[in-house]
Amino acid sequence: MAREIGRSKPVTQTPGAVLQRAAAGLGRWWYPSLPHNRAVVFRSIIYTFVIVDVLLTSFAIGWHGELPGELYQPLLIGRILPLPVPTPLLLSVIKTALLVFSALALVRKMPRLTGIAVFVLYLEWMVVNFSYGKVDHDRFALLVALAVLPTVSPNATQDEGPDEAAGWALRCVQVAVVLTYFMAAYAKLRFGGIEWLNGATLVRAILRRGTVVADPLIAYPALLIGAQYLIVAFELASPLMLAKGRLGRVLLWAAFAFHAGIYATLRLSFIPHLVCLLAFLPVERVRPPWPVTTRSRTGRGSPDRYSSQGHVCQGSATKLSRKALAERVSTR
Amino acid sequence: MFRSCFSGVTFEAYRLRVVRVPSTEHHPQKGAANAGAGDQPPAPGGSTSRAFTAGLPTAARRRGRLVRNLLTALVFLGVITSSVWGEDDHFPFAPFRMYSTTTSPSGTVTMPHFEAVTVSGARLELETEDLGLRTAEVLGLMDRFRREPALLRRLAQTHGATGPARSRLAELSLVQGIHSLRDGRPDGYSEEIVSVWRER
Repeated sequence: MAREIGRSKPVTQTPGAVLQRAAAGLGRWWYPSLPHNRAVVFRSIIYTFVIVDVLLTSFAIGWHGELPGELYQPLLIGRILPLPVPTPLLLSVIKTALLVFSALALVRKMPRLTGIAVFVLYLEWMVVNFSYGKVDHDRFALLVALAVLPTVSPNATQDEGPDEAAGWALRCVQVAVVLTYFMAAYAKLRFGGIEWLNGATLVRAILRRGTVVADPLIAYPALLIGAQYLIVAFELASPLMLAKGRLGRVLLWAAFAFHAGIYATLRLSFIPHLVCLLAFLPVERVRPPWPVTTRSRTGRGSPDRYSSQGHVCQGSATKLSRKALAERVSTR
Repeated sequence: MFRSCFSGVTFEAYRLRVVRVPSTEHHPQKGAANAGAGDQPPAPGGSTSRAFTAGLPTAARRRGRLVRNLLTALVFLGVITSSVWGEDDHFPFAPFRMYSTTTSPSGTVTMPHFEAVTVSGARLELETEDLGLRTAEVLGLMDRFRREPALLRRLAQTHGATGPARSRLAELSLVQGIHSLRDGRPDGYSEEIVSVWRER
């Protein structure tokens, strides 16, 4: 009765309410309101990269078909399914199918079906790659991207409206990128121990595949140990890439700088991972030099095409110029 | 040039330029003024973004989110579990272990290569890639090559199958170059023959 005027009654924080709020916050974070066309452009980049990768950067996987079958050590997934022993014919079929389905996905023919086919084929391509005694982790984010992109509608390249499906897909790729760094730091401590930091880790890497840039550094072990600390520090700090504002931006450019340094010294490109780093950038704002044809998300004949579903910028954006759209918006 | 591509771009959360237009098409019972997506109940896991999915039936949207939430949780769980307890064999849920091991500053660094003799008597030094294997793969298969020299015969046959007859291999050895380290600096080099195959 004697409560002060103007002081609100304290809110009771039941565990249920706290959990509900946390779940709602997590939901908002996993489904950010990112523009639809960002996912569409990112999707095009990824499928273009798969074609480039199969033809150029991972072409050596095709060599495995020539190797004796005795060297094939199928991974668990290959033993369970069971996947066939790679032969030149099998790898040619996979390679051709990957190229065809990636091209179809790129031009948006049966996008979900072709997207799923690319994911399955690329996974098999990687299983072949990693079934000869060495498993790499630099393609995890790309595999995640290929898995989630078929869930995004590929049309409406000009649609800047928010889209939770696009937001979820891009967020998944971003988290996969961060996990690649963060869990790599964990793996260093798990398999290398604290000695990874103080040992001759980079000396070994340079002796095996150092470039002319790296070779002189081998005379300065203390410098290389310092670099080892920096690498782990960066990897442990990588979750900050997900932060908004300057902090996230700094970490993102640090990632690009990190990979540039690694390539200059060790010829390790991590290209599949670098492509996925683009999920952090507003790639939809990069204008290609060639004219772009626009397609409505809902399709030409759809009755929904001009029914904005509550938002002017949806659907009608393909009909209105930016200026006209801005005028229309400002008058409301 | 790269910078100019992104000129004027901020990395802040995308500022939505969205204006609601009255529409009763999907929510006739609510009236024009209340037809925004914000009137729909939030999907499981949190509130929704208010555009693309606004026109979808709520049940379909909930189902889509549920499936996405489940897949996200499963993959996340798989990655964490495999990182803590898993091995390479569990790919695609394998630990992220490229360059995760180390060498003592007074230890050794090994680097494999192949040496061969052709039927015409020419001696060749071959990189691992010349026989279709990455260096890291040969390092991973080193114990098998040591135990089973017959694997070298199969590699030699594969190599000979594609080249001219005179380049067919009569002998193939897997050799390991060993760099000794002292105080983290290279301090000597030697070689060890890991495995040899000779044509009889």
